[in-house]
Amino acid sequence: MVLIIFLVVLVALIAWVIKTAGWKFAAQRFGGAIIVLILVTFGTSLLLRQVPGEPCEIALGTAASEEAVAECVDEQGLDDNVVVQYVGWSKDTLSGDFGYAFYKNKEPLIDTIEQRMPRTAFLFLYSQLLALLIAVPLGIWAAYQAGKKRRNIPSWLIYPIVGTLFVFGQFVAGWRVSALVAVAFVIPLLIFNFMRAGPSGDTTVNFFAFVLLSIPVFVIGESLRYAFSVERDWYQLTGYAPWSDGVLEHFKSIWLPAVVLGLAATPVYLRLLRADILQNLQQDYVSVAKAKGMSNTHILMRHVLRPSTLTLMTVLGLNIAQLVNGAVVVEFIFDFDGMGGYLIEAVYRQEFFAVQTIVALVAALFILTNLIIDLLYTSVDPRVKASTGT
Amino acid sequence: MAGTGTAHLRESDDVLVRVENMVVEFPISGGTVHAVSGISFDLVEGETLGIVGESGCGKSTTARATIQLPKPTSGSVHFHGDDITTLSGDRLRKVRPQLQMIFQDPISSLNPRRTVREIIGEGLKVWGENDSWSLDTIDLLMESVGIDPRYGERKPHQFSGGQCQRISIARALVLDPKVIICDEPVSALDVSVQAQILNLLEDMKARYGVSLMFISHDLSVVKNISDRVMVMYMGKTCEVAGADDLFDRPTHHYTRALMAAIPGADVNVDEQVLEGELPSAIDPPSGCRFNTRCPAATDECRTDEPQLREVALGHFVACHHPVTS
Amino acid sequence: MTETMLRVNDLVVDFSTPSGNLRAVDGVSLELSEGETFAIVGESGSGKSVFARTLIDLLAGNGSRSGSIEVGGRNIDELTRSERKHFFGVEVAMVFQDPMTSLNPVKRIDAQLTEAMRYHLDMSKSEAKDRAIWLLKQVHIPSPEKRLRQYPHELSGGMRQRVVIAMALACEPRLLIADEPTTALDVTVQKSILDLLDELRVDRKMSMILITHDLGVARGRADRIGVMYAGRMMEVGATEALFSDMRHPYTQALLDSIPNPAMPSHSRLKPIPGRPPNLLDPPKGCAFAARCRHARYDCLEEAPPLDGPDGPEGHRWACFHPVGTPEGEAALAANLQDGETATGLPMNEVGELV
Repeated sequence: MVLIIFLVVLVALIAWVIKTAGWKFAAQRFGGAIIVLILVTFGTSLLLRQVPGEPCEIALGTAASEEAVAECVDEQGLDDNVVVQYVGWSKDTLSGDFGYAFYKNKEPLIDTIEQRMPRTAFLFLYSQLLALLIAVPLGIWAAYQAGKKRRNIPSWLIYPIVGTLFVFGQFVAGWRVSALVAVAFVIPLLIFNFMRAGPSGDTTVNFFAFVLLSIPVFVIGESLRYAFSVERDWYQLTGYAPWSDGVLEHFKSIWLPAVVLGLAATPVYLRLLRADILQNLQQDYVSVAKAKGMSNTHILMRHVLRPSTLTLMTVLGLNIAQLVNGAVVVEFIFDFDGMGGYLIEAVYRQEFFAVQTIVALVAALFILTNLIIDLLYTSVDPRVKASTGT
Repeated sequence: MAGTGTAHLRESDDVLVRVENMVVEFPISGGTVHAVSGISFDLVEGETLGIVGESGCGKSTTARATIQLPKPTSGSVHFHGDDITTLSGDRLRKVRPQLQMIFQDPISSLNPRRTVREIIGEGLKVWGENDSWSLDTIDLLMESVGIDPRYGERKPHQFSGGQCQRISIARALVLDPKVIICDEPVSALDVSVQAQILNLLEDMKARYGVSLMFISHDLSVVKNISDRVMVMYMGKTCEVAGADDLFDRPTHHYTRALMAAIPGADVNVDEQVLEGELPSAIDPPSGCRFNTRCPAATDECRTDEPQLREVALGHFVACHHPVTS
Repeated sequence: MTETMLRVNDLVVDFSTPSGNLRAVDGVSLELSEGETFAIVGESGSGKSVFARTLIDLLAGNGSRSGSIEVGGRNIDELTRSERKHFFGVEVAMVFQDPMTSLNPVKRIDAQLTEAMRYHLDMSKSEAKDRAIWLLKQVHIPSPEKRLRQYPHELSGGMRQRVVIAMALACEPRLLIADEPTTALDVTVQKSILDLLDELRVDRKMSMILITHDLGVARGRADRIGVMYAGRMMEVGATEALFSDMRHPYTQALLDSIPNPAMPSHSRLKPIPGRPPNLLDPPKGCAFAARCRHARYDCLEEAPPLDGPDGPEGHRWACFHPVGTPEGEAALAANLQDGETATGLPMNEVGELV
């Protein structure tokens, strides 16, 4: 099922690329993608074989007989040359045979992927949407404030805000978390206030972004899990519910990990967008628009926002790698059986073929996403021609 | 206009640089940019050749290709009688110190992390101490371009644009070059500073016996500093003449249009406003490249490319219908 | 006498910078009648661009202004916030130096041309588009319908500047400020753009302030010229009077430093020695004294006022020892005798700075 969807999407994408950017560009990019895929998967297979240990022994356990191990090695072709193994794997994978994860009752790999891929994909999707939802308006607002004359938020306003958060947080997350958060914000703010006359809207947003950026994901994750599923039962660690279980169930099962991942990505997006907007606000055409008597909001939204999203888009595309690595921590904290966790397990168990297949999938997804983003550049900035958009 | 030909090249033992039929083309997706299409010129010892034209006429490319940055697509560049287009690697590197360049943006053309003395002395370091120069002479050189040697340890950003251009001139002079190519050296400067730099270039030329190739879009500046002037349009030569001669008797329609456009000056030229846009350098017009905007263009101009010919002593023009009074 | 379009009274613009207060414009007053072109000439750092930007309310965040600005009889400080936006969108318009950067690279020409009309004049989309086509015709752009759908990078520099001018004219301004409108363009294009501005100005009885570093441009296009140096107005006068009776040594030095195409090649140029004063630490007396042939000791004591025999309407200069007057000749003679000016600039026998 996943495979079919994947293939359909791929074909549609190729058609779209050819249509928007022409045959030559499509051939170049897809050719390049194939070479990258081969290098990545073959590199992975070489690297994994450097790790000491015998996959069949790990899979069958210490109690297994020598014959059983030998049979396993033979069946998997593990005594063959690396290149032969790689070619065999490529043939199988391309023909749709993903093999199986042999340590777990020979469960077919395709089933594992079908089971785990959607939840990781949704987790990633929701977290990125949430991050953008917070980062874009705040980034715009921060840049807007920075561009204005110093009309600062009075610094004393920070204390009632933090105080309210603390009181409110008590009800939601319990006093321990609430106090931790309040202290984490208030102490640096106090220092900050001594150093400066008072933070403007821009410095305040930046400040919160830096605080968020410097808290490790697992700290955010652990404290939120503690707050919402230990202190309160707003989030049950019962595992993932697919869409078929109902929309409400689905969101109930995924919202907290998504929030954690989203919060981790927010400050980066916010800073990038703000920096780009600030840079674009220096451009002459902004002066021209101001001279035309356009309002600041109009200039920001209609003139500056679009060209300021280029860096954000690039990073968003690169972040797709998080699909496996960034999510691991969160998946672990919330007991969320996703792709990241599975990949790590497979690496530990030296399941070369499973690792190769997953790496190939993620790499393919990565390349395709970035290809789409390259093409989106051209619609954001008409000066970037598809033929040169590398 | 916009023609080719070598009629204006001089046969003399003093000829230092002789460029013949130089072509520079850049391949881009969907065609070739014809930046320079068969330019010939020569430079005799102690002379200043001004190259004037509007943006996109290939004047900078011509200058750069003369010192093989980049190498021209075809054509020859003789320096001291040797064709340097055939040189490569070390042999080309050995010629380079004799051909120096000064750029338009004085500040960004200097390494911001080096002190002024390091910048000026860099060439000496690379080439080892030369007979005629020693490290002490850096101070002398700084003095002669009007930078107090006491400021030798400062970095470029601590100087004004004009001072940076003085430093660039010192840097170019340190290797005792034969030719200095000045690519719009005063365009980024205020007029009062511009005059300082132009005077300095004249002084340095007299003092160190260098020849100059002076690229500019500003006709008044070019006239002031040049002995001979070449007018370019779309990678072709329009007119070559002595500086005063060219300004007294502009013969090519493009030269006349340029002169008529000098703001506020009393130039004795009938007004001719150029119509239309500059054609694409990827697909330049046939015949005379100026024919799409020339007030005197005929069918002949659209098919036959004019060759440079002498209309008065030392005054060459590439035009089928030159203005001769 | 026609109506006064612009009246600037003792305008001072300060910028607070990390290294201290920078006075970019220091007490400039100006009156401009309807239909008149006033050129402000100066080198970089003279404050001419800051002056222009202040007139259209584009002062940077760290700048502050004092002195009054009246446009069409209305003091801009008495406008409400919303009136202000409308006022600077409709009554006053500006053309900037670099057409390559003054158009938004990611928006089509039509969107950029029509936005002010739709915003200020409440035009419908199709009305605004029709007017945009008309405007492009006014600035002599061929096939305007096609151009409207293009992006700025598809047009040449001259074309873009025409679009910028069309944009400035969109709401029929009564005052146009052109800040070095042709500096980034080739000479032949420069001429056609200046011709265009002249033509439009006459058609619409618009007043124009032309900011330029080029005395030649100012001479050919302006009714009156003001020469600025280090934030101050050095000399103001009708163009002909200014060029025929140049009074301020700076104006003369500026003119002398430009290579004159009528002079034979290799004519020695007369540069202005030194460089402009540091505006973070301006001199007490005349700002030009340190580079001036005429500088005497009184020039170092206080800044000379901008004045002239014909009062505020006539030719005025800010100099104690003006060129072509007995005072000026006396100062020159005294400096010649001393072998140097009051600021220590050495002079040679013929009275030139060396």
